[in-house]
Amino acid sequence: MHTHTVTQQHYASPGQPDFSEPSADTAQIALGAPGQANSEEASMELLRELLFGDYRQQVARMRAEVSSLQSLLDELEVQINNKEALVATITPVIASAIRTNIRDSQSEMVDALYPILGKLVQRSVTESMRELAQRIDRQMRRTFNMKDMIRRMAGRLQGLSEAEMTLRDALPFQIHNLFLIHRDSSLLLLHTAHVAQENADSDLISSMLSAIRDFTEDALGRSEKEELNQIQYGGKSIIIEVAHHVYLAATIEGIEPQGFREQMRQTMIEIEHQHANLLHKYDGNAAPFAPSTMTLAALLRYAEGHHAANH
Amino acid sequence: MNTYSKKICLLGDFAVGKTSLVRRFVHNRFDDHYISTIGVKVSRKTVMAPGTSEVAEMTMMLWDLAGSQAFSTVTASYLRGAAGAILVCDMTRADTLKNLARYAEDLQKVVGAVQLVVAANKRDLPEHHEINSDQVAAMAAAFDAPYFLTSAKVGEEVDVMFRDLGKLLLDRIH
Repeated sequence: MHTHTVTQQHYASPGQPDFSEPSADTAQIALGAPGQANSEEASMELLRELLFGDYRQQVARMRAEVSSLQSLLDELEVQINNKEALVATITPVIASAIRTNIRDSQSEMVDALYPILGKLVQRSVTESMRELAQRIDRQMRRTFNMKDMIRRMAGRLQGLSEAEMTLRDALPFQIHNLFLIHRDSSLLLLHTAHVAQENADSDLISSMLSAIRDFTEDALGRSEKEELNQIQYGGKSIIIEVAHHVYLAATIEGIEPQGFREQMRQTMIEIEHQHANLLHKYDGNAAPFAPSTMTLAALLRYAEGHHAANH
Repeated sequence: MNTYSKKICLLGDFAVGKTSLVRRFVHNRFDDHYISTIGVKVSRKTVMAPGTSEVAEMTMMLWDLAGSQAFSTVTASYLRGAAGAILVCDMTRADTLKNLARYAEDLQKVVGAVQLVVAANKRDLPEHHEINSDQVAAMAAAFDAPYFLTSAKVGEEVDVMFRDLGKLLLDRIH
């Protein structure tokens, strides 16, 4: 048997191990042994491993990377096909980019969005003006009556033109709730609403409204002449009229028509007169006030009448 | 059957458990943060009150006032129109019992003599008690008021207290 010592001629390249050290990387290979095919094959394999081992590892690594990228691609494809997942993925990125852009380049953003937003705003304003014009037309076509005539004359005396009066009347208005509240105890005496709805918490609302009134008056300075008479929240308001024992709060939407506050005062004073004795020393039993619900309901109808006349 | 509503104030030092007493057994619509923003939150407790001359439904509108070191004018206006008050102290803090006298006095200045009830809260923490039931009883007697050793945490005596207060308020009407 001949034994050859084969020293691998290896040219190390950057990133590859250097096999030129004989002590560590020299292989003793038995060659030419008759009848030992397996042994030769093993030797060849060892040789192949020595010569191509690094490349094999690189190929294996690349295959793994390709496989991983393929999985990523598959996952991405699923996400792209799933619109909800796609939106969830890209929304934070886009939102953040928009925020940054708006912060850093406001003028450019305005210029870029103007063609879209400008048209939208223009359309919205045009529609609102068209509605207003239609309401004014209807108002103008209303048949003559003495009440309107007197009101218009009163308006002229106050320096308002008929057009201004008509415009004022054409503004939308809706009463949602009316609360009659005992002033001293903040207890609810009567409540009525525009539409039948859950009124279970109207007493809590009344008390909290009273607390807000107290808070405002204490914070801004209590005065005999000054009272909190309106709370505004967007297009909605709470209008408050105060009498000696009670106050009346109306939650409304829009702008109250001329004379509505006066109507509120009259309604409230009428109820106060009806129940003057009870109110003087109110014992907490609201049942005797129930018949006055009709009076409050008339105030609701006043608003509905105004609404119907203008629409 | 008649139905009555009454305004009731909860008075007591900071952190004695007023809000917890209210939160446990009453109907809330508004969030507790109102107490820190405008100084008050209103809740509702309705009980069947077996009064001496009639049985009635008594709805108590509970004004939970922010406990503070100094009695301010804002608190005074919240007391207006109250038919009664629950004076709340903390059994683990002796000074909270002593301070009830000041709250009762301030209340009387605004609304006169109204029905009071004393709630000595946190009875579920006996190992930390600085006051006992005799001391609570003595303070309540000074106000001519019943007292209850309550635990908002486990619910002891809270419902009973509201029921008894409802009955006392009803009896005051007649």
